[in-house]
Amino acid sequence: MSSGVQPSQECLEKFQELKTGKKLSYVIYGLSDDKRSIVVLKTSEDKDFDKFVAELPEKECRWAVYDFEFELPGGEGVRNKLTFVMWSPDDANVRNKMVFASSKDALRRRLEGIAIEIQATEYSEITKEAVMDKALRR
Amino acid sequence: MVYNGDEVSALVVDFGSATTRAGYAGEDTPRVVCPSFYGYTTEEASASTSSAANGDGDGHATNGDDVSMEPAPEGAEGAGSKQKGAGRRFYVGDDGVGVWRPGMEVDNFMLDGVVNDPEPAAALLHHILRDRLCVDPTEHPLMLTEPAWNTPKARQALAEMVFEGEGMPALYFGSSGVLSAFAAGKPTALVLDVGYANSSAVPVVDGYALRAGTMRQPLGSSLLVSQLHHHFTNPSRDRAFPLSLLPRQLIAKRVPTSEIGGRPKPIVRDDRAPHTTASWKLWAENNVVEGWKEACTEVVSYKGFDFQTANDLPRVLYELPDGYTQNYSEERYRFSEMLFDPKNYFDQSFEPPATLRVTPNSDHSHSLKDLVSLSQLVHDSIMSCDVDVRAALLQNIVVVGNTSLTRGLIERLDVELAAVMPSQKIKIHSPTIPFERKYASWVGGSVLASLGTFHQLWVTKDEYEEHGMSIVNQSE
Repeated sequence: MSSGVQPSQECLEKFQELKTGKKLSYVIYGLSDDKRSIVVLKTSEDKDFDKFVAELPEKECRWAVYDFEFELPGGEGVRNKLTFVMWSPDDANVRNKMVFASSKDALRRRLEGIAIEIQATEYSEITKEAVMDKALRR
Repeated sequence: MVYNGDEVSALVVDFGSATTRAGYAGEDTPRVVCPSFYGYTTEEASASTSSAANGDGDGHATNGDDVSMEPAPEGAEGAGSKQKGAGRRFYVGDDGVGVWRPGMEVDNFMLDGVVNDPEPAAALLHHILRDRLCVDPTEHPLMLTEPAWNTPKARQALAEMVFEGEGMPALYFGSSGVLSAFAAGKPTALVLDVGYANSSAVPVVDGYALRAGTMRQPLGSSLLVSQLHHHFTNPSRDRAFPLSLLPRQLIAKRVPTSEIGGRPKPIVRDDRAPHTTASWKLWAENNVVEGWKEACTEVVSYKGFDFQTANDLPRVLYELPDGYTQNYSEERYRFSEMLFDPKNYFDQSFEPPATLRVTPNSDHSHSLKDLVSLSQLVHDSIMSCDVDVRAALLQNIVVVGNTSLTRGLIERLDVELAAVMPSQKIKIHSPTIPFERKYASWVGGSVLASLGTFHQLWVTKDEYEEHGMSIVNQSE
């Protein structure tokens, strides 16, 4: 079941840029004002994970892709994994949660190469450690 | 916040085992919440008691406006609900079962969470659309919710009801579990719905309910109420006499008893009592018990409930309609314990309601004889899903349903789940606003059906007329 809301072309372009350009660090997605499409709200080259998390509002849902860079244990080098975040805070209202949850799949399945997926409702679920944990599991 | 409704003005109807919820898409709460129980009289019965019916209008008109539903109101329009006729006259909605009528029987069109008897369900839908929402059904698309285990037969009956009976322009079946998960902001979640007839666990992954992991059992407030009914209508440890559980409709006058635990002396309405059917009486008594349950019942927050310590539990003063007043303590906890320990707290020594016995034992359901705790139900559901999704489901357990509002239930579930699945990260999310929990799937359906972009997903009447049920079954 889905809402029928579709991602704009820009959503996919920015994702490609993040994936191939190695310049962007994250992209934050939201809904257009008319609630009919998914749009890019922000892109950034800042690699600071905490700054990225701080971009997620307390009372509104978001989707985001973050290029997670981490070191393999035992000094085996640095790796990058694209992380998709579904941010749905408890304090968002039910309409906001409903639209984001029912539209997620439309965005997610257009983004190829996502390695890690996180569905978070509070900041404690989206820490560097939590992502690291998932990154090392596979 | 307006979600660009594009003048769709869709309606959402959520048929539940105890109540049916209905209203406009885009609104926060359903406009109409009325019983899924309905009253009916057969022609012979109403003829033989017509004199008693006339005697009914003797000043007790507070709830006696006798707003009745003819099987086919306003002639041909409601013909959909008359077809099988069989001489049943239906009384649906708030003024249906709740109003005493001579010779009126009570039944429920839901069975095992599925619309089982389309005729009274159609009568209720008609009543809701015409009399309660006061809309022209031919102008409004309709979203209906359905359980993950809905049957093709019920689906077809509903589609016929909507397109042929009411002539509505478009229909969409929304999966209850998915709608509840979405309303909690989660494309992936394990939805535990503790309702009236059933408790069910439905795994939802990326917006789709997984049939494979869906589990249900007839453990909900209906069973709880039947156990309490038995308890109240028999003498107990600290009550030497059975309770009457008389509903207000059968009480002419109450003699105040100041004494707590004293035997009440209500004056029964002799004009009504002889014309009251057994099914109405049971429904009304259960309603009295339901009132007690809503006000008094709690779940203890720890495992291993002990009667010996139970007297320390907080007491609640409650007065039944017949005037019986008591300071209840352990009874407030003992029966609800069944939700977490059915082996020990579900008393099988007397007959449970027949409607609960239809749920079979299968890969996806437990029968009444093999009930498991809510935590076990969640566990079994998650374990029958793919290994890859289990962790995500465990961290996104969404609890909904009216019975989940029982005080202490969420805290207890947390304790129980940790015991069933130690060393797992478990997280329960439950909407904090009560109606979002009670009417979770309606609320979800309301938002979804109000979206302009949702247009493309409706199945229209034209499509239905051309392709029949196959097109309805394709839409997801």
